[in-house]
Amino acid sequence: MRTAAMTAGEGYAVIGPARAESADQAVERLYRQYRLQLVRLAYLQVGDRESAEDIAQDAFAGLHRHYQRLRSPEAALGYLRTATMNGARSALRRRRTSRRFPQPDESALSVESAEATSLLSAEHAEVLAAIRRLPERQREVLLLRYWSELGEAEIARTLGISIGAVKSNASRGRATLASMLGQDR
Amino acid sequence: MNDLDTRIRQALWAQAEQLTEADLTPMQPPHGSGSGWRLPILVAAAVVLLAAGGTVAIRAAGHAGSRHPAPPAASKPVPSSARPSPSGVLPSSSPAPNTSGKSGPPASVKPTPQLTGMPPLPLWPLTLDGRGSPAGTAQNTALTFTRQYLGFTDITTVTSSRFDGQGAHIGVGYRNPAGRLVTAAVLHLVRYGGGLAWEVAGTDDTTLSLEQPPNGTTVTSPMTVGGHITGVDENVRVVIRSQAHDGAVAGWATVPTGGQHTRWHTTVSSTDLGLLIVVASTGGHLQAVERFAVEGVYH
Repeated sequence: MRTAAMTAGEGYAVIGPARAESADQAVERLYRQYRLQLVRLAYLQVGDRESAEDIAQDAFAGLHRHYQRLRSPEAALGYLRTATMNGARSALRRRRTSRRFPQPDESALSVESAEATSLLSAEHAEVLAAIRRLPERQREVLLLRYWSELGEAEIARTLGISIGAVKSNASRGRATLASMLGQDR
Repeated sequence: MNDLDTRIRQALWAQAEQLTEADLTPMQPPHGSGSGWRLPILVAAAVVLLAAGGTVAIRAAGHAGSRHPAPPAASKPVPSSARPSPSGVLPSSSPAPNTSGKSGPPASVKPTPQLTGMPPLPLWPLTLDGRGSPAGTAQNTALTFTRQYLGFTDITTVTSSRFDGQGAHIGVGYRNPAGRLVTAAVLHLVRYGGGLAWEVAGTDDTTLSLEQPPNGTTVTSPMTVGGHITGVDENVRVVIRSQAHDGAVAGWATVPTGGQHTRWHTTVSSTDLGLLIVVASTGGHLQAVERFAVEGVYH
């Protein structure tokens, strides 16, 4: 069975030389350095802290399992980012599936999300609401571009799509946002 | 960069920065040789024990560092197995798989016939003998259980809601002096009574866990109650509540502890029989109850 983490590793998984740093040491270092960043990346997509923490933890667990197969230690952050995006996408799809078979209170929004939203300014809340309405791929591209500050090539590698697809999704996403927010592009 | 770029960037940063390092649940990075070999070994051990007519309560091996494992949702009440261990290893209180039949489980724990994957043990509001009334939504059930049944009136709000194939995971907590919502526990609820009601089945492991005796096992008195905790100057209070006597306190103990993922345990006696709800709680820094964990056992 293909897991999100395994899929994430495909772009980076080639047999490489033995590492000077063990998987335990490397993952622990990366965990200290990037855990918050990855939880935030997941949080921006799924909207609740606990799911975001789970997704990031799964990403690190996947990295630990596949660490020796990375083409280089430098690929680890890319792997983590990809695994986090895949994990968030899976979580959102599970939620959508669940909503197709609604039970009495499953449509209730996360209270934490509601509380968090109320702490944002109206301006930010409006923009975030518009981003949430974008198609999945456009939203992901914009997230990696504007929050992770990645270039087109890195976004393409993270999402496993072509640079052309990154450009077109970014362009369409911006255009849709501009329209929803009543702003010139 | 135009104004639209700025708006998008600032909004994303504003939302992302709502989460700080202090908000994250203390967790350990994955370690060891991975969990790939553990699950097959545990499954094989369970199969061998079943074939030998034995019984076992095992914790399924999740991946390293997983926090929210839980058994599948229940359609009818059946005593459940323990929650999977966060570290993916057999807890010290679980009976070690063996096929000799010569050595049994620890004296205080008698594993109930069950396997991982069986439905969870329903604790509240409905009991196995049909008493109790549904308490509404999963959120209402979680909060009512916490405030009315456990008496933790310091816990005032639902802090998170998550629904998955195992049921509902509802965070309950309070607002700290800085105005932030703090989660005291994440209650695991399952559908019960043909899907008509939500039933508390225990708590997900957080920075305060309750691991011994494993959830759903049969115990004798006195029993050792324990788990792990992360925190400073903590005093874990263990209370045993008897479902046969409408939740009356049937035993209690306290144990001072603290540290990073520190093992805690104490011994509690109870003469009450039937379903017992084990409650571990800590507090005293900001309010009387700041974190808690619950599980059910048979006596």
